[in-house]
Amino acid sequence: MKTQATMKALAALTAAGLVLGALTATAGAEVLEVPEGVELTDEEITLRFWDIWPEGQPMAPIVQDFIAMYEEAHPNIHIEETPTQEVDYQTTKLRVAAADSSQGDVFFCWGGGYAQTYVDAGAVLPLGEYYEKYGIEDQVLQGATTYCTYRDEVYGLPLKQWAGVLYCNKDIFDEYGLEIPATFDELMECVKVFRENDVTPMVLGAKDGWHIGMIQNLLAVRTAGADYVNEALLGNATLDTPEIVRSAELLVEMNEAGAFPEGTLGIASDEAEELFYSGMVPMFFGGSWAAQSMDLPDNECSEADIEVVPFPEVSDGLGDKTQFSGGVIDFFMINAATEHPAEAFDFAYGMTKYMSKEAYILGDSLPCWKDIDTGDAEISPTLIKIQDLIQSSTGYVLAWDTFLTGSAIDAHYNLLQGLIAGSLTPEDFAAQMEEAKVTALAEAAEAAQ
Amino acid sequence: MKQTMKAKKSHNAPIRILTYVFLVFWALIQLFPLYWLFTFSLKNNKEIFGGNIIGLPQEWQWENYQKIFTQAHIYRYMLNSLFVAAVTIVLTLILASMASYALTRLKWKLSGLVYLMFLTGMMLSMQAVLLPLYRNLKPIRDTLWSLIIPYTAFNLPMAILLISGTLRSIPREMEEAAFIDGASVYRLFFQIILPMLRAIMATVAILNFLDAWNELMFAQTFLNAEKNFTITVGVNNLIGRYSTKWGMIGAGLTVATIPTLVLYAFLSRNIQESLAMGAVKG
Amino acid sequence: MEKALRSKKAICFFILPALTLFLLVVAIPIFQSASYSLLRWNGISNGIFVAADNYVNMVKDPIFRLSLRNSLLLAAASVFIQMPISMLLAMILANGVKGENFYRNAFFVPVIISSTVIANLWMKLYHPSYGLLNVMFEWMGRPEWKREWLGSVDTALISCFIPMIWKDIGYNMLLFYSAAKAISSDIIESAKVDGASRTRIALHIIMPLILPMVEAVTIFCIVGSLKSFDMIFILTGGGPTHASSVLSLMMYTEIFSNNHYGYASAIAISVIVICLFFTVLVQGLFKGILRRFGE
Repeated sequence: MKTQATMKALAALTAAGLVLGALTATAGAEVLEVPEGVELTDEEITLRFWDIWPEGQPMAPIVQDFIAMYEEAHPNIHIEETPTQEVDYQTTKLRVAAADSSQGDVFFCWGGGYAQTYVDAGAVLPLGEYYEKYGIEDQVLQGATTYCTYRDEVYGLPLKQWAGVLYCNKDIFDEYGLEIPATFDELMECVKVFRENDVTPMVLGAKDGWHIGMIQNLLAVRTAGADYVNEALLGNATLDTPEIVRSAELLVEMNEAGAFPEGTLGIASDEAEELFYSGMVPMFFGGSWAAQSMDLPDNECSEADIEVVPFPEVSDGLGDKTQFSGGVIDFFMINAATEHPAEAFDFAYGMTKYMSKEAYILGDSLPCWKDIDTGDAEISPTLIKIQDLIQSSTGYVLAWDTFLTGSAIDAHYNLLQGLIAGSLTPEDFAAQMEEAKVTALAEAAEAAQ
Repeated sequence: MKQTMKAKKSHNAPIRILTYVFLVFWALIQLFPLYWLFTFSLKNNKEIFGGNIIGLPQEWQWENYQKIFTQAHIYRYMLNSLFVAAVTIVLTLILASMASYALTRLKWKLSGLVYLMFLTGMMLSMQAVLLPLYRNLKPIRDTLWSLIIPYTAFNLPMAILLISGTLRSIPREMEEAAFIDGASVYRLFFQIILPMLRAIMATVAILNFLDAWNELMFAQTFLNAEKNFTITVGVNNLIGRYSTKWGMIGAGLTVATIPTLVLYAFLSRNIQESLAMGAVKG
Repeated sequence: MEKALRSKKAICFFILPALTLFLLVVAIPIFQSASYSLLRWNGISNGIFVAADNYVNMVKDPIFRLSLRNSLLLAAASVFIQMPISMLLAMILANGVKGENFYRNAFFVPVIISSTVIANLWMKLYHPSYGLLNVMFEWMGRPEWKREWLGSVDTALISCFIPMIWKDIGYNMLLFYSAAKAISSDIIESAKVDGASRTRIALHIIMPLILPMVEAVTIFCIVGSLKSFDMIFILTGGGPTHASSVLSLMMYTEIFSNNHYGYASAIAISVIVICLFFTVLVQGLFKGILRRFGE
């Protein structure tokens, strides 16, 4: 996969961007420039813009600000925003609307297995032509468009990237005289000591299958290596291997050693994470999006010494700690049925670049555009730690539930819960995961015809 | 009947006391969610997830309410919800009472079948018809009518079942008398039948209101413009995927619950009065 | 009078508005669902006609069987546990107690409060470490009774059912209460004047008058249980590993997560068929009962 190179490039370039940032004074304005050779309409038009940041969400002001900027720069173009709660947007709203291409002219969409259904059904506009006009290939990090590219045609503008890291509350580690674990064995030792002292060692809300997936998916990166997992998820290799079995075994081992909260299968992800934010649990394996919560002054852990490290290495594993879970999965896409494709793209392009920068400052995500100019804005300190960490990364694997498609996702969640509940063996997990993946891929291929 | 029961009970003091103990105990349980919701709305995440379930907040987060009222277009959402619920109730009551009359009093061959068909509507899962309904409602999408129409249609079965059940148990002597006096079916329905249905219609109105007021899936899917959002959509939008201020959601939910309580209190008095009236008239 | 009641014009006037709306909005989607149920279709692309395959697969699907069993259990609990409690409360209140209005309003509160709130409340009560239930058992000196209520395959289902049953007690109670209150005292008084005994009045006068409502509530309970979605969705999402899955939840997952729209439509249609079966059964049963009391 291309993602390896991407992340290397990203780390180098954003570091450069940070230095250059202070020198550039044109912040914001350049995202509104229309490239040469692009003509936008003079007529009064309305673009419908669908996103997942309703008022009250941290990202909402960013969206509002850009819409205002854009409408000012293009007085004849009006933006009608439809913000929807993220989970409902993903499960029902977009799905139902895309069935007759009535989603927004510009709409937020996850790539990978999620958008595939819409692309296959012809609800999404291919963007190759506009990519050339705007010279996007040179502006985004290499590999940023991997998961919005279907059959060699690109369908989205990459918004942000994420990486999974182990957040450690150093204060609690110090209290029990423990070091931050670097290997899986050290991790298990920490788990043991914390448990002996009645401290829940690690965050997990197993009621939400994806939360277990975060940990097992990363363990698979460690045991099988990022390249293999990517190939297997694509359908070019099997998931039913001793390494994937091992990743499930390690998860079960952690669970049996009491690494996770009591009754974790009945606890939701946000509730479990709150245990970390309020300084009660020392370890949390989460996405870089959690950085903003770490820094929130409301949360007790903002006072604590939070260390950010890669998930510990596994002995004999094929992947080392330079490999991460993560990647670019959030995109803006254009409705295939839009009446104003050129204007829709121009707006989406500006919004993507603007949001990339602002979300980075906010601590929501790492940017995937090269010339990110944050000016002298203060970037989330926790996010900077993560960025330092991934500078030397050599491989990335998306969360399986975003990589996979259709029925394989729910199957994944249930199989993971089976591991935690003890009703499924690691061998069965790997075998049934492979079966679910193959079935879902076949279903998607059939629907695409 | 009331008097006879009371007379009987005075002979059984222990049973009466036990009854009251039970009623008070049960009332406390039933009222607990209100207390819990209100205190929940004044807590921060740490308290909410930290085990303070039934206690009062340690730090009262009144700003949760402040944020609700300053941040979201909550008044607009509230008005939209009220409009949708009110029109749904009125439409449902008119259509259902008329249909019930036709189904229980008028004599036609297919009435049994049509009645069963209405009931079938009650058995249809809303989730299953989200997609077809979205398509069929295309002309009125993104207006409040795209909620009112399906809410009314989906409430008809329940309303018809309840109203025709009541109609069946009302003796027909009065109608027969009116007929002999030369009244038409139409006059009969509006002047004699409808007043007798007041109590059950108030009950149906309450149940309707709860359905229309709390519905989320249709509202979220069929509405696009923020000016059309209903209160459930507004409150649901406060839920973030990865981090959420739960106290603020609690505040939103409390604010959204108050109108239902007020309306219930109002309609329930109405039920009480019409029941009393109906009973006298017999 | 007979002629007026048979007038086509009158029949059309009264039934057509409701019937038209119902046909357009509810009946058409039912037929659409029925036709989707014969397709292998992801809800977006072109479907493939597979005849009854979805129904055949459904009967073989262990998750469908589990969900069906769970849904039927809920319906049974609703009829045999929830309804009697509702009836008892309604009768106590209808017979006249001090503060009747207050109690009636208080008992209805859980119905008014949205499922989201009720489900979140119970999640706190069930919480494995600080939940009220486990804390209480600890305090009673019975730590062995502590459970991971919503998180264990063994207890998740019952832990979902309890709040669901509890929440709607007030709903049925209100219906029973208004039915009981609607019986005019004249009827009972005149029966007494005729020298009827208390049991005779209860059995032959009050019961037949309340029975139509009991019938309606029974149908509500069964249909409502087979369609119930919100509370379980929030409490467990059907988990862990499908342990608390019910038909509507399974259908939702098949549509919105698994892209199996055709299969999900088959489930929706079978829910309707099961509900219809029970409705006709209940109606028949009550007709029989009414006839006996009417004698």
